[in-house]
Amino acid sequence: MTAMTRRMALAIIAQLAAAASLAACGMNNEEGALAPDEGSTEIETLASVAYDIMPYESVRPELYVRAAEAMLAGNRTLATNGLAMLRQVTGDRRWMDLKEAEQVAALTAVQDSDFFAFMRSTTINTLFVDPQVWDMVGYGGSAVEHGGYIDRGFNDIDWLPTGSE
Amino acid sequence: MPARFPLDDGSVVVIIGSGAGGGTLSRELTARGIKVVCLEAGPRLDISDIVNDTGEMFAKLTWLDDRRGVGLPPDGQPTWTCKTVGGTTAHWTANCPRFRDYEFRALSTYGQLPECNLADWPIGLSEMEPWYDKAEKHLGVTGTNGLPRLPGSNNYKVMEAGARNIGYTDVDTYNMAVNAIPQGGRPACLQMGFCSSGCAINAKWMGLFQDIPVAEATDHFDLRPECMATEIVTDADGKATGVKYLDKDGVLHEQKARIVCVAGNVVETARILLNSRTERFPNGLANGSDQVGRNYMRHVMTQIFGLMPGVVNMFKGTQTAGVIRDEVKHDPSRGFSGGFQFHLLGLDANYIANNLVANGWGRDYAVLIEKYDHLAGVIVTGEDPPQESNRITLHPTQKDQYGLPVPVVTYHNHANTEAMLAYAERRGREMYESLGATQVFTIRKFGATHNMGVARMGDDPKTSVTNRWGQTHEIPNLFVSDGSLFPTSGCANPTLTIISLMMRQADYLGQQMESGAI
Repeated sequence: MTAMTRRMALAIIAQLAAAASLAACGMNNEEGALAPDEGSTEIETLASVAYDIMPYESVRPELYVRAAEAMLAGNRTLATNGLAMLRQVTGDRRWMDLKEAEQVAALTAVQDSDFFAFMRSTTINTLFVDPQVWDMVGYGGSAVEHGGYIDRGFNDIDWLPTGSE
Repeated sequence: MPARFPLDDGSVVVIIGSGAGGGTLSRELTARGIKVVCLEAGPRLDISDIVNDTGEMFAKLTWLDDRRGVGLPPDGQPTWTCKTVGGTTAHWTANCPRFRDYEFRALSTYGQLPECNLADWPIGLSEMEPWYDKAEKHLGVTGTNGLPRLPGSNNYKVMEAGARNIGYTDVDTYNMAVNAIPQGGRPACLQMGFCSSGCAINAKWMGLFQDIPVAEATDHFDLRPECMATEIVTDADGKATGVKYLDKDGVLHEQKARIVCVAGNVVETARILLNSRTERFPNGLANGSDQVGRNYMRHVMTQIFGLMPGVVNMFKGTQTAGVIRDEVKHDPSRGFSGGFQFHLLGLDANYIANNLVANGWGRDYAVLIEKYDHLAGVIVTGEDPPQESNRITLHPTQKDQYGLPVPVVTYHNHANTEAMLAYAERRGREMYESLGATQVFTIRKFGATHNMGVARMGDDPKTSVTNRWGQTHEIPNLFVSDGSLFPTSGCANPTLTIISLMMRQADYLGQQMESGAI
């Protein structure tokens, strides 16, 4: 898979976010449901925040949208208050118009908040249960169905100084 | 087959908790023909419930009810213990060192430390040796009774090489209750690396599969899972008469008892003793000394990870099968009292991404985490000096889903601990840097899985909660039957000592019952 630039990732995130919030509206028409524009901006912004927290150009962008959806499902109040806090910090500029350095600066300003802590843990817990991410960092996942690692390299280290192995 | 005793059968022993303490006691007492009702707050799992998925098993095994943390213990998850049949033996990583001789005599050996409540144990190593022998046989501990130790993983080889580089010599793959060869009706380890999620093939010893079925086969064992003990009932003469508990439908029952043994692990044991207060026992049961809940110890712990010049794959293999024992001694020239072990630690990618750097994020952090497979890890386990101010208390207003006051776990590091941590982290760094590590990380803040001390043994009722058998001084038919008994923590992983103490307590209890003394 060709490496994706940050710009490409965010463009795909925007498309996915729009689709995700349309789907969400279709599924629940209760009072208080956000209009597609508002909803997609929320998901898109949170997904972009997730990307800034753990930016991997080789990870498929849908995982960052998934993290955003998990954030909203997990604690919508915290998420929306957090987005309001970000608007304050950036002088009400549109998040997706900011350059990477400006987004990082804004997140740095709020990195001790409950919102950031929840966003960070949700992002990491979404990414690091995914087999593509595991492959990227070299983690093996479930082992029992493969007979463990006793015959799959548990003791094959080859770079220690001679006499150490 | 499993027994069922009526609620009004006052001839039974009621054991609260089915873990290393309660499970051992249940098996030992029922083997002697004694009727036991065991109340376990958690559900009973089956081997098919155990999967190689740290998140799923964390949710299935862990005690997740509301607990507060003050100081070092993280608020919300101050302790990492299990709520399941077999207790914390579900997720233990099965390290089985014995306490050293000097560790039973911490006060005599170190002298009292400032603002500290060190005490000698009322028993010593020579008294414990036959029980350690028995427990090691029962658990099939590698390195004992002719059983070979496990083979060394990559992570172990890195630890061993680094250890030897800085002059350590007492290094091997440890005494483990994990089979290196098939024995005890269990297969050999396949090096899967999910030990702390339960062992899916039963190579690791777990009480659920080793104690519980043996007890049930005696026809004297009535195990009641998903039954939360809420109060120990005492009568006007100050004797324990039974235990109240909520079943899984929330209905309250009272089981009568001849004897009550509390083995809820430290937080629940302290909580039920404190919460069962009466007019006669206004400070909680067995608490004339005011020591119930106090002297809480969790071992001095820090996780050390080295970013190595080559691939390690620390997730491949038994998570903690490796130890460096050279620092297990009292040597005040190092700047602190008591000793510590290094033991091997392999952890999964999700944990590392969450915790390698506190609140780590951004491009640099993402790049770092991408090198996960180059990480090697050890954990320090050190002697924790008991302080009266480190304690389990009841929240004054917050109640949990059972209507019980939420437990509050308060713990701050002693100066001795700070000195030990600084020294140990320096040595750990030296080990990894001697092999070319480019960065070394330490993690100090996590829920404690070694919890000890809140109902200490002693000969003096003014300064201890129980006698040398775990029998409370004030209520002769009320026993404490878990790690709450430890007057000091040593630096040994507690489970082997808990199991040994309970084999010994069962022997005493059996004799006392036979003679009619209790």
